Amino acid sequence: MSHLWQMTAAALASAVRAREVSALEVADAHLERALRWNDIGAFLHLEPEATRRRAREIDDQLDRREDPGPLAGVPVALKDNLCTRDMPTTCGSRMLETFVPPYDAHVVERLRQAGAVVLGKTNLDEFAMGSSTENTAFRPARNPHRPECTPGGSSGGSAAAVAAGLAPLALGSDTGGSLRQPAAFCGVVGLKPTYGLVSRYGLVAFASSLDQIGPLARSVDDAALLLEAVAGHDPRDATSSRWAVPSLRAAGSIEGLRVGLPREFLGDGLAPEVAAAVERAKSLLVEHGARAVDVSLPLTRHAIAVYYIVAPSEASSNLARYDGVRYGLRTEDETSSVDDMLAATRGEGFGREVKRRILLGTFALSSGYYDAYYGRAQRVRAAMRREMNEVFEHVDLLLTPTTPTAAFRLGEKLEDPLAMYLSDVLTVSANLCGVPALSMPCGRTADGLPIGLQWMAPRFGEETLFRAARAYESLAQAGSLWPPERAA
Amino acid sequence: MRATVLVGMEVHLQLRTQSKMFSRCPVRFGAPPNTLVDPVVLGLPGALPVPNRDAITMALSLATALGGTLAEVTRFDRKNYFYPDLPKGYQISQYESPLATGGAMEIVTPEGIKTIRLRRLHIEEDTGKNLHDDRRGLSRIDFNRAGTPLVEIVSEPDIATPEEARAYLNALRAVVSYLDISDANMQEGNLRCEPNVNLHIEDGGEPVRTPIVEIKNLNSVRNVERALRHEIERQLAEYREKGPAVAHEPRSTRGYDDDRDVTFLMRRKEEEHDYRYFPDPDIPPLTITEEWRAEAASRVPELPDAKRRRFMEEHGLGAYDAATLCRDRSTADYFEKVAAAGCAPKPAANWILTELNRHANERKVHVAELGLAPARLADLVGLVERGRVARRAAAQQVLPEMLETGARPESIVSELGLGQIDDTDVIREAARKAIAENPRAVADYRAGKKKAFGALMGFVMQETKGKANSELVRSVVQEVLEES
Amino acid sequence: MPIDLEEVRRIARLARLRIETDEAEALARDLERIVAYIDSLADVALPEDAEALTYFDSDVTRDDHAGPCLDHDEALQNAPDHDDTFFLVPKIVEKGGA
Repeated sequence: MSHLWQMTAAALASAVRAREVSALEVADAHLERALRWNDIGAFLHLEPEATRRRAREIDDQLDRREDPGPLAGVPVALKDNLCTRDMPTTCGSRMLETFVPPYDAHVVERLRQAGAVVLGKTNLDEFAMGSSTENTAFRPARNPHRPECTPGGSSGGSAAAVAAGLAPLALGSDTGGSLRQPAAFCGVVGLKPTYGLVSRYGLVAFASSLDQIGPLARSVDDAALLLEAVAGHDPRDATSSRWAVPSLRAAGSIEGLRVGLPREFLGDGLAPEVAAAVERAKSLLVEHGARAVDVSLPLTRHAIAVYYIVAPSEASSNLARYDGVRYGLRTEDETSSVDDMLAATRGEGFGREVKRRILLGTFALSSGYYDAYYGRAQRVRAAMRREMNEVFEHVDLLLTPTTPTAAFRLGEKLEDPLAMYLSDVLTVSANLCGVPALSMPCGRTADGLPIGLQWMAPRFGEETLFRAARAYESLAQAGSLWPPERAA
Repeated sequence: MRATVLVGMEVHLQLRTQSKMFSRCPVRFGAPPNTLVDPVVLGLPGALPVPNRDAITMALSLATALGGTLAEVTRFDRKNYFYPDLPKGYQISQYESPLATGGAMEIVTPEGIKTIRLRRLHIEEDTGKNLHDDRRGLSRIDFNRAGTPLVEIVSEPDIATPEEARAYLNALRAVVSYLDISDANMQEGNLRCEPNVNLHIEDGGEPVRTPIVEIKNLNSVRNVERALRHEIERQLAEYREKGPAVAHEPRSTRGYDDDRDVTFLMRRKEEEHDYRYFPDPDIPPLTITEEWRAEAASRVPELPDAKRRRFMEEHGLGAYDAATLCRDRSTADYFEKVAAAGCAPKPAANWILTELNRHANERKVHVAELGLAPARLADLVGLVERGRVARRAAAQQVLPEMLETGARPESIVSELGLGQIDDTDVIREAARKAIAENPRAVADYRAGKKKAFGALMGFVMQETKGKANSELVRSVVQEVLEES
Repeated sequence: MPIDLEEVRRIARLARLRIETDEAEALARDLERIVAYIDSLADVALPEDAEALTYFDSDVTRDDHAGPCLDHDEALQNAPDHDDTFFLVPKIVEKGGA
């Protein structure tokens, strides 16, 4: 291990606490690398001085023989839809370009308590709406493995940062796959937890009944470490669960595990290399004692339709607060009335994809359409949940690919929003049913692009999820998928 | 032609809680603008609502008091619309599953007791406040009020006159004061009322319904009554002018100008508001369990109507006195304490409703807040009843002294030498003087003008400096007149 | 379900989104395609009394104790226009609605 930026978070925390390396050195190593890789657009905001100051605080605490916490000195990148008191929170939008929240998100408070060092805010599709981190007011992010490709979205910046070694840990958010898909495209581990496991207080809302914050890391252990640091009940989020988070560090084991293979996720729409990689993974698991079970989730064929009604509907309401009155952009145009000011501000502040979804959501909720669209979608959603619960009575986990293809090129899907939406088909079910889902690397395409494997478990099944993922990780000897290094 | 008036009332009540409906931000009266706000109240990105259980319990106790049927499961919905004083661009309210439905309010009308049916009761959050500055073409917004818990009570259109509307509001305010959940004061804005009114007119042919008008911005119960009176006349006049065609016009919203006593058009509802209600995904639904119902019920004391009836039965009070005493709980409680201290109920009621009420109004407080111990009032009333001091002196001299110094009535009476004169000779002396010096009154009285007797009595009272026992004066003057 | 320009304008008005005409045309086309796709939900067989899913939990409330709030400067710190006391907006023509 020659570089600090190649170390796992667990190893870094250990080394910092053992005083083998200072938190400041760790911070500097990552800041330097982040600046060198600036062109992949992973970060929207870096604050080197504040980061160093914080790192020095950790070192001071250690000097005083105080315990900074389990993430002592570990740099963490935060998706820019997480509120941070001392850094802007733009959500990748012109609407919030200069917004500095007067409060920290719950997860940010928890990270501070754990001794982590926030490196900066990462790039995302505007208001987390998108699958490529191209729908942004500022600049797109790029896949560190192949910069002409997207890193996925909407947590593209966080995934790219971790993949390139700019930070060992990152937090992203997942509403329809927006954390797992970038994890798959960038070759890192990404988890969408059980709905309610991680507090959403301070996460800028996109779709309230679907959004969850989750960890991105280069190893299953590191993902568990980050999740443990931020999960658990928060009285400020009424959807936050009271489930006592168990230790997620149990040894990996696959023996006797019933692994369901849902046929709707393994059909024709998959790129051949993706299908082959998942097939190899399955064989490896079965070789070592797992039991593969064919299962079916027939309502999956409606998942995208349900998602693209529920999510935009909730989003259209969640984004109504951006009106230029209390914060954010206000139009410079001369307006004679407040209604004009509102419409002009929102017209200027939101990008095309956001507008598309607001209109779609407003339509689906509007009088005369509610029953056919939103009402119906929620009923189908309930049926999907029942179907998923029934399947989990016969299997412990589900195994699927994370995405139908590897990363696509920048610009490839921008003109066809429906095609972009359809690529979410393998990930949205987990959000709709509130179950945890983890994506991890399971190979590369011939072009060198990472391929992601997805595990799904029942609600609060994180323990089983991590055990299986850990087992696969060591069996496959996957290790971190480093992108091609670049000249200094 | 026959016109039936239909008025439905929509009332919003601000609850008196420590914190706001969906966050711990404090609630206080009169704080400097924009100091009672937090991320949730301001609708900052990422903020989330968590419902205030006590506010809901207060609302449930009101629903119980009004005889409503409590929901088994209740839920919050988002009411989406844009307005600068609405921070999130939606109001958290209740649409499909309100806290309660049904129930009724009884009001006293000249024809007797009338039942006004209630449609629903729900809880929601208040908005901020706009202050318009027309001169500078802008508005100032203060979000202190945003997020305060509001209970909305909607009645059926059973109210038929402006007077009934007033009685409804007063009856509701009395119930609310008994529950002690809100100040329910229209001038202070913690009770708001929007009547909806239209007419059903039968005039030979098909019955005609005038379009429903909603009246907003009423800032007192009196103005509610006046606005309704004007609006009913206006709708009648409009019918006379336009005939049955008036039924096809759209509903509208009108404001009330109390200087000119007219309602004026604010907005036509050609386009019904599309609030796009949907269940708020941030707030899981609430089960109104047996325990919660019991808790809400335990907060409901004996209510004004029941108390009024009991005062009439147990204490023998008349309906009017009983009702007036019961309008405010502290006053009713005060009366009962005075009676418990051994005072006869009817005089006690009388003293409270006349003398004490006058002092209370002057000081702008309730009778119970005058600081007059119930036992002391009982003592004073007792002295008057037993003839130890004249009522007038008691009211005009003893009572103010008691309120001022807290001294016992007996001491004040002896100090001021107000003991009633029982000495018949003294009175007889004064009576003779009265007759001697008022021949005209005497003549009038003998001629049959009973009123003249009062003049003679008045003279005697003056002579005795108000201290004579008036019963005795009456009989003595009578005797002396007969003797002469 | 056809989504024409009129419909897009109506929805944009509801959502207070100012959209230029060319943008409106493109959005109408996009929306029409997307809505045609999601119309497939009409085919799903559902029982009469099918329940809806929005929540994974129930019965979460808090007690009535007051807590901290923002100080005045923090409240106004991101305001586009204020006079140190109030948030300022251009004049409001009439009571807003949907």
